[in-house]
Amino acid sequence: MVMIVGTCKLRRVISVDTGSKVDDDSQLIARARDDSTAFVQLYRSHYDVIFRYCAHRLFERAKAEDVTSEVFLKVVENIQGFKGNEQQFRCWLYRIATNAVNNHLRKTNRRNRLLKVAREQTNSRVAYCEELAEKLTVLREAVFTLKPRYQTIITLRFFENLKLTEIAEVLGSSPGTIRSQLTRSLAKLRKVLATEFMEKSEVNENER
Amino acid sequence: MNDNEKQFQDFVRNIKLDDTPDPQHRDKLEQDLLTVLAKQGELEPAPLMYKKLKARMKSQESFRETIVANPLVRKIVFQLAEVAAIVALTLSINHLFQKPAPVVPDDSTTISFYMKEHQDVVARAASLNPSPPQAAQMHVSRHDVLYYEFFDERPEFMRPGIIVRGSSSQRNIIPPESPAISNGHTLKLSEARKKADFDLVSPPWLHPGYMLDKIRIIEGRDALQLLYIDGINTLSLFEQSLDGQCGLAAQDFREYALYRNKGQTGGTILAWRDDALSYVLIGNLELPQLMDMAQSISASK
Repeated sequence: MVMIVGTCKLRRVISVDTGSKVDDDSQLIARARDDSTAFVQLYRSHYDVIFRYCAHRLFERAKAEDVTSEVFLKVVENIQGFKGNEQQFRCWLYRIATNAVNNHLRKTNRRNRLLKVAREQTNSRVAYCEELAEKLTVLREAVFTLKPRYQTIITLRFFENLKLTEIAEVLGSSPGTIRSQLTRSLAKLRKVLATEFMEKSEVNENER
Repeated sequence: MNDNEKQFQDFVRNIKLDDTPDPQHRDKLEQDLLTVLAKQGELEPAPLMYKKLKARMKSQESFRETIVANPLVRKIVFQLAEVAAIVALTLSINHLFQKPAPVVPDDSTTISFYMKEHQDVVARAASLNPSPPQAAQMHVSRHDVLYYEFFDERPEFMRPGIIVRGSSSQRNIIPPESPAISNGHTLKLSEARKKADFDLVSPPWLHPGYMLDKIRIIEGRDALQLLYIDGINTLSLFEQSLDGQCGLAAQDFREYALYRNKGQTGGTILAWRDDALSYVLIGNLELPQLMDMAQSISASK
């Protein structure tokens, strides 16, 4: 059974851990290079975060599972070369996941197809709440109109609750650039969302 | 967080996403990762091999130390090295003074033909059987080089491609003042067949959407241009007799050539020849599609 939960409940707050926790995690990462048990432990502690990120980017759980698998296979291949602490490891994972999601979107010419699938899915599914289902569709369609980089920024900021500095680290950019790109993407989203709602309300009025 | 961000956050706060991880997928992926990790472990060298390597390095090191430690051996080694250095220096000075650099006239260049990699790649793709490659060089005037470009794609294509007009033989061909195509005139297929000095080959297979638009005879060159169009893009096939009055001599068109005309509108260019004609196919299509056309022409001959 799949449980449907509000994203607000699932928000993960990245907090800067101090002391022994950080040391433990860093040691775990170091051990994971040679020790499969340590790697599994590391994998288990990060699977949910990465899966959710992929789900929030792709809006489709089957695809999100595929991309998550791809991400962790990449991690297995490259963990020998990774040197850094827990925070850097998390950013590294996000970066791999971002690239994997973007590749996935590019490869399958996703934008248009996803829009179509999104519509079909929402239409075929019994909406648990019509208004919220409609909002989800609108959000999905609006987000897919953005460039992949802007999609990443929006998802990391509003669904994964990352700070601007953390997003900057994931995307290898400066916080200032991320700030301006975030403003730009929000402006575009605002425009698209306003148009979508306007169209929807017009349709509803006509139906009445 | 500014107002815009807060507004958007409020919007997404109540949206419900099905993002609960599936424990079954998590466990299955865990198993897959463990399998990959186990395979990686198998590929690593065994500890015994490390020991052997270490022992070998140690023995080599001790040998070197023995040489350096013995003053007599050290002296001999240094003297030998000195003699070798003097011999090498003398030889290189001799080589430098005895063989002056070849003087290449300003208006000509030396081109190596039959580059094996190049020929093989194109021949493989076009299913042609190239004659055995022979290294050959010729001097040509710069005006005779119609097209010369380095490839920008995969390493196997990274060789210059050349179409040469004019002749390495004795015939003199004066290049037209204006571009050859502009002084041509349009013909129908039947007219072109009558007018051409050679058997015009029309490709039996065309990329879907393309239709023959016009044929131009290129005056003074014994050549025809068949222009195909799909409504937006054009595709040109140039055919020229290899042994006509004004065309290329068979031995002059020595190369199968393939170009990516990156900076201009020409797109991809594929040039090849058979016993009687040279063909140049230029279009905004991908190479495999041009290859299909080329193959259909070769098959029809």
